[in-house]
Amino acid sequence: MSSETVSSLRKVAEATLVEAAWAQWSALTATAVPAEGRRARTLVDPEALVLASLAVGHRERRLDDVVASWATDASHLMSLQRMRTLASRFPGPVQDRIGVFSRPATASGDKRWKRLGAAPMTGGYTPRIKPIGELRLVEGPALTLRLRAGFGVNAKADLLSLLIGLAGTPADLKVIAAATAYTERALRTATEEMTLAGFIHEIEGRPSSFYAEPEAWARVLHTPRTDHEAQAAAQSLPPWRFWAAVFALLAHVVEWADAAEREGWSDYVASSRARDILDGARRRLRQAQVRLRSGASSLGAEFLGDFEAVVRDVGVWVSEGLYGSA
Amino acid sequence: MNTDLHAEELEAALRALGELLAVADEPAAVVVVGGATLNLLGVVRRATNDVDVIARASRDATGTLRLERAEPFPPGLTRGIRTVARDFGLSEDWMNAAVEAQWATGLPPGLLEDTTWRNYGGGLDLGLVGRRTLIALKLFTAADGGRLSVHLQDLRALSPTSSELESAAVWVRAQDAAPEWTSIVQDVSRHVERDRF
Repeated sequence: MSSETVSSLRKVAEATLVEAAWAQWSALTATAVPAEGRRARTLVDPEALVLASLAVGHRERRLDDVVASWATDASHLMSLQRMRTLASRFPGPVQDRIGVFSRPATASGDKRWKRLGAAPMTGGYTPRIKPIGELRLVEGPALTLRLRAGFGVNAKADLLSLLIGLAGTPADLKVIAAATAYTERALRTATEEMTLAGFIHEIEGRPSSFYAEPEAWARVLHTPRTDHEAQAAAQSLPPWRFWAAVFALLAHVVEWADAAEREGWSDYVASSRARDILDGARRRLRQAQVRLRSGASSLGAEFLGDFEAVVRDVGVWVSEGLYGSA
Repeated sequence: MNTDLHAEELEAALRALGELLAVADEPAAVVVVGGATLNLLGVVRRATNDVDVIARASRDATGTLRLERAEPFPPGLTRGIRTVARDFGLSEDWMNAAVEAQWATGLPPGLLEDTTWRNYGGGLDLGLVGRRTLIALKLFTAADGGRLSVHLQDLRALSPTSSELESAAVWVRAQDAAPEWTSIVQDVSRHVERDRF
């Protein structure tokens, strides 16, 4: 088969995940340093970040170190439920590596994570755990963690983080569920109570949608002294990106490339498995508003070319989205 | 959706199915009849809309090849057929076992011995029934479907000799107990013979 295509797509997917992981970790803790010195400016999805790091951690061992260190010091800010739900959208090898997070989290005394299991590390590497130092919670990208620290690790904190990140754009329950990975039932209760409290607002309809006022929340989060400062703060609220959907897709591309090389797939088999990946991700990418320039409709092995274009588009989307220009 | 399969598309779809079965380590062996067989053997060059599987084949403990009913398809084969349909824009039943009903009244005699095998993609062994079986089945379906059916055209394309037609007619006559059936079969045979001259 076209091993060059497979190898090149693996490189794109891995490089994108590695760039995103370092840019986002460095926005949360000073112990992580991004390769190109650029910290993420958009909202970090903490569980998606852990899973993205696990997807490439066996190739970039320092990411395993950061994940294990984060688990030791900050697991109390992480959602077990979300980790479980999101992990199921990642390929098996990523799920198999969840112990890199759950084992040190459990060892540090956060027994919730025992339920995720702690499979022994593969590859003979034991992550080096270092103190992560002061968390950068009040900086924009860590908003989800900041709200969790303030209000608890629950659907309400994540709902609010999402709606603030959407900068006043309304979202219905389906979009909120896709973004937060909580059940629509849990989110229905959360939206009702948050609306009752006046923290968010409902636009009644079929379906109803919800939004948060950017300026009002900018006042709470940045405590500006003037209206002008409040407007500027509202502009600087970190935008939400649907990282979980995109990181899962890229992790599947890495796993796809591994399997293609390991099993010697023909061009057609590689194209068919690529179609499986894209079919599985299409709905979430649409919800994530990932605009793909390339169509994906060629028949048979020709689809491999379409897939390559999509993966490259997603790579560009991530690189742009990390720093707030997507 | 593409419902017409020309020879090249047919070959590509079968190769793709074989590759999927090989990667999944779920090889399959099936015997096919009808328009797909005629195409693959180069007897006709018309598009066909499906691949008719009349039987599956497997080897018993002694290594002897045996035929068994086509349905139900093994899960791996069913999955592979659906995947190829999606990937090539074919109808979901582009390969089906509708003709398998023939087992109720009996297969043409010597079908297994009359079958040649081709491998596609490493995982699909495709049995193509030979001339004797094709003539028998086409005579049957032509008699069943009338003079305007595509089966009569296929039968003509096979250019059966008088003795081949008569051998086939012996089996075809046994397929239906209706009083007029024998004369219908005879009528079709005469029609084909007349066209030959």
